[in-house]
Amino acid sequence: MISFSKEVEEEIIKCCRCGFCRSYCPTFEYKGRESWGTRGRIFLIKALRDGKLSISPELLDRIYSCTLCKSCDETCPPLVKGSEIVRDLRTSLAEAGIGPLDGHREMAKAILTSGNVLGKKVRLIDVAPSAKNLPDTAPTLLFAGCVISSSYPNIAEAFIQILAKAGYDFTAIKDGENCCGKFLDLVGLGQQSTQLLRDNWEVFDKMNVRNVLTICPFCYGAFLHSAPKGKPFSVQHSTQILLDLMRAGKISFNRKLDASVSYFDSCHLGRYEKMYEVPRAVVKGIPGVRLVETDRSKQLSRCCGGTIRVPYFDIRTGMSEAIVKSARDSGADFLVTACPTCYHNLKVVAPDHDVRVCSIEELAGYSMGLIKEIPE
Amino acid sequence: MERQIPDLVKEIEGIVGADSLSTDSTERFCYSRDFSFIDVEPEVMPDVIVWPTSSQQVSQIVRLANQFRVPVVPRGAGTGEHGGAMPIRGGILLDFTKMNKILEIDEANMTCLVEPGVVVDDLGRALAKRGFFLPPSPASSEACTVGGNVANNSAGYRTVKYGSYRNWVLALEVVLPNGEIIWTGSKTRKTSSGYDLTRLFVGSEGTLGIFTGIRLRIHPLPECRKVFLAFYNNVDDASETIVKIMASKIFPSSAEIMDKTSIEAVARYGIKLPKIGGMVVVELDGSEKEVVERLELVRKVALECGAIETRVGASAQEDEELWRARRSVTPAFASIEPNVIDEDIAVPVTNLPELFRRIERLSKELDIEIATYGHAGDGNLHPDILFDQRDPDEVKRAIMAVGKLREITIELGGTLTAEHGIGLRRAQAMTMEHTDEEMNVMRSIKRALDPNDIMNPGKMYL
Repeated sequence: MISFSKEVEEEIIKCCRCGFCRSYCPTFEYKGRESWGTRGRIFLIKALRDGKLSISPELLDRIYSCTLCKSCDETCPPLVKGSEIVRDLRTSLAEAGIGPLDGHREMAKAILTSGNVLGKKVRLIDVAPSAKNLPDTAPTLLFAGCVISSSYPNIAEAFIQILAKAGYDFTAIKDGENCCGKFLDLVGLGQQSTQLLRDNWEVFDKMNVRNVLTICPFCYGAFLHSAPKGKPFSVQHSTQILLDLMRAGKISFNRKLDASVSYFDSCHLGRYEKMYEVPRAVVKGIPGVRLVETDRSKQLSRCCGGTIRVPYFDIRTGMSEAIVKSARDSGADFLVTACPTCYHNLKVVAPDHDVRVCSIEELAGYSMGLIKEIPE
Repeated sequence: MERQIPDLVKEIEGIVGADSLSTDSTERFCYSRDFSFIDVEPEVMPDVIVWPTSSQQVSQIVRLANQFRVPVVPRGAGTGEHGGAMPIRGGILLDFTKMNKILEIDEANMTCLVEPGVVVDDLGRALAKRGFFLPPSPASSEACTVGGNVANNSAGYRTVKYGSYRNWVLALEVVLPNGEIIWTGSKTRKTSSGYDLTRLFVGSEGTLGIFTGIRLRIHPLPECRKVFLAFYNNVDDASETIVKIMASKIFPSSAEIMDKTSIEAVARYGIKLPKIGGMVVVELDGSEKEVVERLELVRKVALECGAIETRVGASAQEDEELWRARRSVTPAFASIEPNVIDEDIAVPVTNLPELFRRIERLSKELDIEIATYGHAGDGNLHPDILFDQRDPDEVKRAIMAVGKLREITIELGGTLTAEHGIGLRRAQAMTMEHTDEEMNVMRSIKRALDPNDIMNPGKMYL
């Protein structure tokens, strides 16, 4: 039988089934069925705890299809942390050898063997040309993250050029990064995740790095909340640096972009880290840009479904489509994100909806004249 | 019946397709409950859940159910607190989540036509864009559906001026228990033609038929809305204020009251409120000049009744934040005590102060927390009994408190439910409020329309 920590047990008890989460849970929005929303999930988890239901493939689908986006946490009247309940159960299932799902195990294997969630061992210097020019040591380390390194080095390249232009002193791990482990944590493999973080911090320490700069909000949160105590480490997200440099006059956005732009709050920068205004301030700094808010932004922002893409590909697509549609409905020409995972998922569906998806680094790079065109 | 279910499911599959139904026990388990606290163990699951998309589909399914003599339970968002959507005899659960289209907003005729699964706030936003609103709006408007609202004659915090759903439904497309489809009422704003079937179906809780189309009156948004708050040392002074406001012809669009625990629950949403014994929230709407004038009258009455502080909302955004917190009160109690029984009594407004005194006495007698708030302007209070299900004695006292509250309400000339409905949880109490003769009329109507008792059986003590 599954048991929960005392804290999580209290969270489970607090759920009074009011159903307000129906209006915010992104998997419920896509599926339209109780069991795929937070209220249903908690009800099922209670039943599992009480022995009323046993583990079945269908039940596991409900547990692992939760994106842990925290939309329900933000809007729950009794302040139940639905995401904590699901995360805790995933940990218990992993400890009991029941979880995670096969697709997750493959990804975990990929991380542990290649250092990258997508299974490709990539060196930043091989994919982002400007990385070659970086010094071997510097107080700040740019940590590109798995998705950027393996799929979207163009974002890293734009960001490196921006930082170089600002005269920012930083380095990168030239022989290949090791995943931050956030994905493992999300699927209940907390121990492996902690080990990866520990390994990373050892590498940073050896490199005499004092400031870790991330592009990916997953990496940002993972490092921010695991920084070794008693040491002067700081962790920053690319949007923070962009704003700092912009305000300090070290970079300037000169090229105009005459467009309506909607900023999409990723779960891990938004609800997880409450960073809503920093990226908006950067976007607003681009001349010509009209920032438009969609029907659901900031705390109420939808989720792209990136964390459940494996194995719930269809749900991810439906969720990302809802985001792109809402951007289109609010009149946006561009949908800007500061998360490579969102970037990927939104880009996959965007061509069908007449909205261009770009990263905040690309947008900044464009306005600084460092990149010719914002990629389609 | 059990042997028939696979055949029935097969036939339903022919109507809606395999993708629009589920017999999976994981899904069925989730549909065994709604928001209500009801001690039913074990959960009774529906045999099949269907997500229809048209009135024709609903008609065919209901016709089949009638042939198979299988119960049909309609469900909006499952946010009801009386178990109305609980399929206590199994059968077919019709989830209207996918019938959520706003079909028409007719500005000149001041009506709208919607499918039953439209979420109330979604309709509210669509109407607001055109300068209109639908006055009845329950606290669960973020999630609940128009269909569920109509079925329970829901109301909310603006009822005091505008009335409940019964005042706003013009016409209904109803699938009858034999599968026939009818339209009640008229598109016109008034009609004297025949029995008022619309008013009969509004509040029928799915026991007489299923709505598949709903035509509502809508109201232009007022030029101005202002929210006034008054704080008191005790809830008695607050309830006296409400009585006096109602008697002084101020005609507020909302006149709410909250006791100490309710204020505490609202304050958890970051709304800055003093730690105090009672609070009154009054909303006035109309032209700005008129609202400002009436605000002064409200302030005068509040101070006369012992208000120690009064405040007017600084902005529309601040007012909306307060209303949002206010709408979350009942579920928010679950963060104070794990279980809540939400009551929905109403008494003539003049009996409010006495009702408050009796609730306080009852709470002390039974040693159980009763947090009270509500739409005091129309005498409707929600005394919410807070308890912990893990303590069997406390559960006993909580259930006893419900019974006593009902007795008090009837003694004070009130009604057991002003806007939530009877459903399962209050079914047994129907005879406290209605005589045998009245019950016979209701049962005759039920038998005439649904002789096989397939429509949401076991509810309303029919």
